[in-house]
Amino acid sequence: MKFPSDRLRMPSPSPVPDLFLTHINLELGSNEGVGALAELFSGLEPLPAVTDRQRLWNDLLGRQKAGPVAFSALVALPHARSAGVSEILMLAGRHATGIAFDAEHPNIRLVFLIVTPKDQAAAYLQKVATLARALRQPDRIAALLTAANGDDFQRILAGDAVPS
Amino acid sequence: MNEPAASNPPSHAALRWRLWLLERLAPSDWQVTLAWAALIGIGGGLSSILFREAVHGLHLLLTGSPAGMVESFTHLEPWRRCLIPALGGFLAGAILLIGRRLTPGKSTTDYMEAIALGDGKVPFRTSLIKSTAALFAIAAGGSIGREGPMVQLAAVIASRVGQWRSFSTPRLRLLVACGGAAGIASAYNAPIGGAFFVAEIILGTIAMESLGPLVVAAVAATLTVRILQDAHTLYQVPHFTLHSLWEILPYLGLGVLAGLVAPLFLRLLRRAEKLFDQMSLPLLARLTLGGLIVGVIAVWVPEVCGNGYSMVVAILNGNVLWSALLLIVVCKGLATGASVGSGAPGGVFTPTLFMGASLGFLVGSGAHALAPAAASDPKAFALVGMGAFLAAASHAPVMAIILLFEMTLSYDIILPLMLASTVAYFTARQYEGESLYGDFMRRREAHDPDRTLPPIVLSDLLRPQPAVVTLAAPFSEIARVFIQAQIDHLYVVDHQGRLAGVISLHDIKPYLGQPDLAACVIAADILRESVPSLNRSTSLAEALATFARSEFERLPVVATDGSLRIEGTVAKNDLLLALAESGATAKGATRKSADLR
Repeated sequence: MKFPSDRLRMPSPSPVPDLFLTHINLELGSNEGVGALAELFSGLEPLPAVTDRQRLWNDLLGRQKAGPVAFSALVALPHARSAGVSEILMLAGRHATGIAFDAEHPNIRLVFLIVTPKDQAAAYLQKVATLARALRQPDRIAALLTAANGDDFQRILAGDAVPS
Repeated sequence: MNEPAASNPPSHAALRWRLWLLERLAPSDWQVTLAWAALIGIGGGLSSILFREAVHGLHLLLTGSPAGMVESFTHLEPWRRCLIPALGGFLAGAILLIGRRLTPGKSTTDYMEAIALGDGKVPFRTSLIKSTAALFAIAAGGSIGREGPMVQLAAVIASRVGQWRSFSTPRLRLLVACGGAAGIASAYNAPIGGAFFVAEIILGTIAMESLGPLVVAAVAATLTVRILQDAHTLYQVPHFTLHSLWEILPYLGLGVLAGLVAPLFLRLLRRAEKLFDQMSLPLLARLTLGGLIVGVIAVWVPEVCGNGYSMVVAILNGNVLWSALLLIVVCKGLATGASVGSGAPGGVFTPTLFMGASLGFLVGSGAHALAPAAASDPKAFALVGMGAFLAAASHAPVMAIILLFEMTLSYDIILPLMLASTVAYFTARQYEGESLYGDFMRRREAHDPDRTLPPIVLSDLLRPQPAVVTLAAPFSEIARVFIQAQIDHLYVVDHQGRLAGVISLHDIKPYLGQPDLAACVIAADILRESVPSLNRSTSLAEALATFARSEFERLPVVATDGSLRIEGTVAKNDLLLALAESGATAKGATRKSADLR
């Protein structure tokens, strides 16, 4: 019989191989939540996994209304489960000054958009939990805010290049 | 930089431990049922001890003697022998009359009816009144058994506990059945016999779903009595040996004879009841007259007083002459007819054992006189006669064999006992379709057919107010509800209370200790939408098929109007119990039809 802490121990925060970003936009322009989301969402359009773009967008907006998606004062994790997508996808965006996601979070700098098929609740929760774990480190957040390009951003997020 | 709230190590460790304990120690529905069965058994054992002590105390008060019933009455003056049973009948009647005023309205207290025909609800106050009345009738020397009120008290405790815990109808019935098993087990110090008595006679099934809790309750009751009182094997009997294979023949004859005489005994009881009915006496006068008849007989034959236990012990130990027994058994039959016929509350189980022991001893004595080698010990015939007579009267040969074996712990007698009991059972069924208890149940139905409830439907199994969360419930609330409600699946409803899906503990278990998720994950993010549901009009067979296709131990029940409003849940084990019951009922109905033909 395993000790509970062994059984429930979370995976190591770095490296994080499953934090692959499908699309990265380091220059989000909109300083308002839905606008920023739309900008990021445009990165999904060419992907074959998106089977129903309109439904996916509606589900994303519906989820925004249902409950908070801000992870911290600087980071937001908008997400949705939708029949308009056939596999889990994750995208990231960065804003130079800050996005007003809601009244309590007026200065969001990093946005991670996750979309998941309806029937993959457990996989989705795993993805969110892994991402949340990775973003718990202040150094990593700081490095993501200063990453020079998309490749660096991906490597920092995955834990391959966390600055000392 | 404002980071998410740092985790709080002590609270997460506590959460992990609680989850770990929950996963490993959280009992299944069956384990909970067994635990309640054990508690019911303990309660049944305690109530039996209380009743037995009350009988002893009241008997001492009425007769001034701490000895057994027959011994006390033997040493009483004739006028007291005559009047004390009459006084007992009068007091029992008075209590029943007062009870009628306190509990107006017609309601049955019979636990058998509550299990087999009713909804498992045994009226508390009426049962206490009836048991108190039985206490007076029995302590005053009435020719009835004390096991009846003991079982009644255990059953009413079980019913109250089940209603308090809001158990579903099948589970409540099962719990009352556990009370019955506990009562029999504690009355006769026979846990296996107690369990099989209820399983074979009342439930009509020995499916493990019901037999398991019955056994647990019976064992708990027996242990309680053994711990708190100096309980021992009920009938201490000498060592019996089958000396010759030829002895099997007279045992076979005893089986046939028991199968013929037991129905006559049942007819005698019914006839006595009809006679009292025809007299149209008020209740008080009726019970007093019943007691007076016993008292008058006791003036010359004091052995008729009580349930017959001490006489059975005397017979089994060879302390009664067959010629004396011949008179006693006739008088005892009349006395039991008077007590039962007048409506004195009590049991007829032990008097039935007495009749069997007497018949067996007389047959054995006769056979011994004719051919000593073929019936070397008439006392062994008495023992076998008890089982055979009980099997024939109750139509429950398995219970009779087990009970006799447990009450005597005499293994040597098992072969003739099995043979004679089985022969007696089939002989009795040939000539008498109704058993000691089946007759009673049938007459109850005939008197009050409305009490026969319709078969179990899904609504009867409904457990209302399941734990639910709304679509917008944050992850922290979901985790809290899982821990508090100790469930595996949590239902999610929309703002109108309609079923939206289910969250599996298995899915979220690895993340329960992760506070980061509380900020951004809600129920809508992690629910499974494809959850099968039932409604009140779903048949039990359809419900079983739905369970078979799913992984769930419970399924939600939604409104029949198509609104998906969640009304409760149904547990798979409740469904299996209900199906086992309906199977037993169907078998019982088939058997009754066959008997009638």
